[in-house]
Amino acid sequence: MTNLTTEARRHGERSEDRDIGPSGDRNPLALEMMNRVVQTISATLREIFDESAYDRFLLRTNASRSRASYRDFTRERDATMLKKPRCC
Amino acid sequence: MKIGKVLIWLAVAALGALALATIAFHRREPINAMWLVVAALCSYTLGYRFYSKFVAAKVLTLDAMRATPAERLENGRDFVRTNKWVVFGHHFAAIAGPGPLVGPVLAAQFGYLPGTLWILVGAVFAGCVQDFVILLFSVRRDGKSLGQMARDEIGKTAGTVAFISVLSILVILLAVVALIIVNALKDSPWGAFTIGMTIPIALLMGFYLRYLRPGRVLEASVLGFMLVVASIFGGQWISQSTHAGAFTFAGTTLAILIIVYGFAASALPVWLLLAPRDYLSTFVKLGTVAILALGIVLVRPTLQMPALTRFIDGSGPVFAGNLFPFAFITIACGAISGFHSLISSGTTPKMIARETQTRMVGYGAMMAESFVGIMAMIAACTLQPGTYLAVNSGAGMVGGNPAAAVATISNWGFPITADQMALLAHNVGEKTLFFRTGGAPAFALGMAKIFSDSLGGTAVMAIWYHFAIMFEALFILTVLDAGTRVARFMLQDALGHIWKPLGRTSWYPSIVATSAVTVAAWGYFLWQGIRDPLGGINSLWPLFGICNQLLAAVALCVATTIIVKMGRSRYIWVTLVPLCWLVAVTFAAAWHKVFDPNPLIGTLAHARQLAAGPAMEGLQRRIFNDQLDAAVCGLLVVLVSVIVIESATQWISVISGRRKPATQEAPFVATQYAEEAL
Repeated sequence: MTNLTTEARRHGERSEDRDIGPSGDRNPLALEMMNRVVQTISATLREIFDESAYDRFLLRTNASRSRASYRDFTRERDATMLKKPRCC
Repeated sequence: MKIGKVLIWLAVAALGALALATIAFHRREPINAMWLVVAALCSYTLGYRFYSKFVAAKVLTLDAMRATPAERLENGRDFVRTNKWVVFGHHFAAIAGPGPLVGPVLAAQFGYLPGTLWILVGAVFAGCVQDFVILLFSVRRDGKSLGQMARDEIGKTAGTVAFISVLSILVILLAVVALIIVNALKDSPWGAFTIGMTIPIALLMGFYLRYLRPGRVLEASVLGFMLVVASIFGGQWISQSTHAGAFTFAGTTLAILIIVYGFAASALPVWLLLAPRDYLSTFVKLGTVAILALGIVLVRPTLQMPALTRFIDGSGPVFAGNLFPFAFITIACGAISGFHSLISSGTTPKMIARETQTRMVGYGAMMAESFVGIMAMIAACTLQPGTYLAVNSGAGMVGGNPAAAVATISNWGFPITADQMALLAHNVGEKTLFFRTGGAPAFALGMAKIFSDSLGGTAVMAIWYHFAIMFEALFILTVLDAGTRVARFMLQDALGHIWKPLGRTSWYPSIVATSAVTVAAWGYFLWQGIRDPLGGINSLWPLFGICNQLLAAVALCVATTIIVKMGRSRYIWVTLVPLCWLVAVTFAAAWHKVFDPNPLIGTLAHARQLAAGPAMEGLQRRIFNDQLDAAVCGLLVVLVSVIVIESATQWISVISGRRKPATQEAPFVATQYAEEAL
């Protein structure tokens, strides 16, 4: 089986032997493709909007979703945003 | 390659050639915008499949087995292996700004042909290549920035030049985008109310994220978007009520408000205003760009603008200057933008999971950005040329009042009447659309026309127009507050070498002082633009274009130096040809901006004209402003000349064998994901 990280799985990457669904039924190709597209778009939006970054922060610091952990996360992220221009 | 594939690629090439030939040679009747779309899609497809593959294989020798910094330095914070499509979306969201929307709209004064060709050729052979190679070189150097790479690969002077170039471009950029927003919102209570409301909406989102639903950014963005849409309808109500006067601002008042906003945004905590606005802007941006693409395909509008106009001789009222070099600095982001090299050597290289993905992310995302430029060109060219010119020309260029303006424009062969303009203004809920320079209102009009043709008709044109204005203004305010912060940070970083406390980003006196200096710098140029009777854009946009393309020249110098040091000198032309083109374009444009004898183009000639003319209020300041523009332009050219000469010296010494080539690449480490890479 392909070695995928948790992060990659959450972003919708799936290994080849997952073409057969959990119940053993083979998914129709179109449905599978649509599923992948939706997962990828969702993962992209979560990355753009820093939701994935917050999840990673929670994993890294063993914290749970709370005001305090989000405040800590924004403090860390603000330093990055300070150096990040938005393109013209 | 199998015969079937060959035939498919030949068909794509033939279709692209047919579309380009139609765009280039069709003169008698207006053409459909779909020809531009087809030409663009075929050019991008061929460019990606063949040219980028050639660059990837022969020049850069991408190695799927080499571990990227996202793998080697993975820390769950900056360095994170990420799915390639996710990085693509992230990178596109970072590089897409107001530039590809405004530049093509302004360049449409030459007709649709020059701008379209430059967007396509420039993107495929220069812009996409620049973004791709800088991204890859940053990946191979642990995600180093452009400035660091310039210092390491070329020399200390190059690093300093890159730093000054970035700071200069930021100052000019912020002044230009602020001017665009002022020109779009002046005397428009509807627009001013809508945009004003985005500030409390962003603050509300900040509190929502911090205290109510921590981390639910998408949710907060959807909520913010709904509130912004509600504020568009609120703006309509305001504009028709007795409160309209309270939201009707002159250009100078708006300029002061924006300067105050810029200072506040730079000094307030990031989570409170900057971050939520950034999320909201990105949300609206991605959605609107997708809807615009859909609208163009559904409506398939006809281009009213001719392929070429009389203004290629340099007499244009939107901005003065000949087709060469001014078309090529006016359109930056849609074709090649130095600013992208900052993004390609910023966050993105730290997310790339495999070297081979740099092609799709770097080259591919710039193609998408270039397509946004094509859409902007289509939106501008769907307007009647007379309307386009009446909106985009400064009062000083076409006459001080609407009657004089329509007479001048009609005499140029682009018939327009004051009644037509009044009806159009009424349809979009404005009192007047004359002299709204800067490109944003013209783009909003074109976009509103495309949207209203596909949904709702004239009845909702005003809503679409203000939606488009809101979308652009949101973009621009985001660039403004993020840019002010970045410039402030760079300034603090530099001043920290002189006195350490000034470099501390948590020390409030330093934050306030450097924010004030930054805002004063771009505020000065903004004020100069507001008071300019020619509309401001005439002098500031070319200056911005020159700065941006000079930064691209710096990026291409770095790229060419690394290619030579890699021992791939026989492929030096891949970056050297675009570099030579950019140097020719920017140096020629700079020469014209400084020394051209036409006072509409040359700043020194304009200063001489003012000095010889009748005495007026603020004369000395206006003369000084012209001289300052000339000095900024000249300084940037000198700085970039230094970096070009320093780079060329390196190339010659390496190619001639006098110096041993040594790059600062991180050592090769095999990827742990070899199976996945294969």
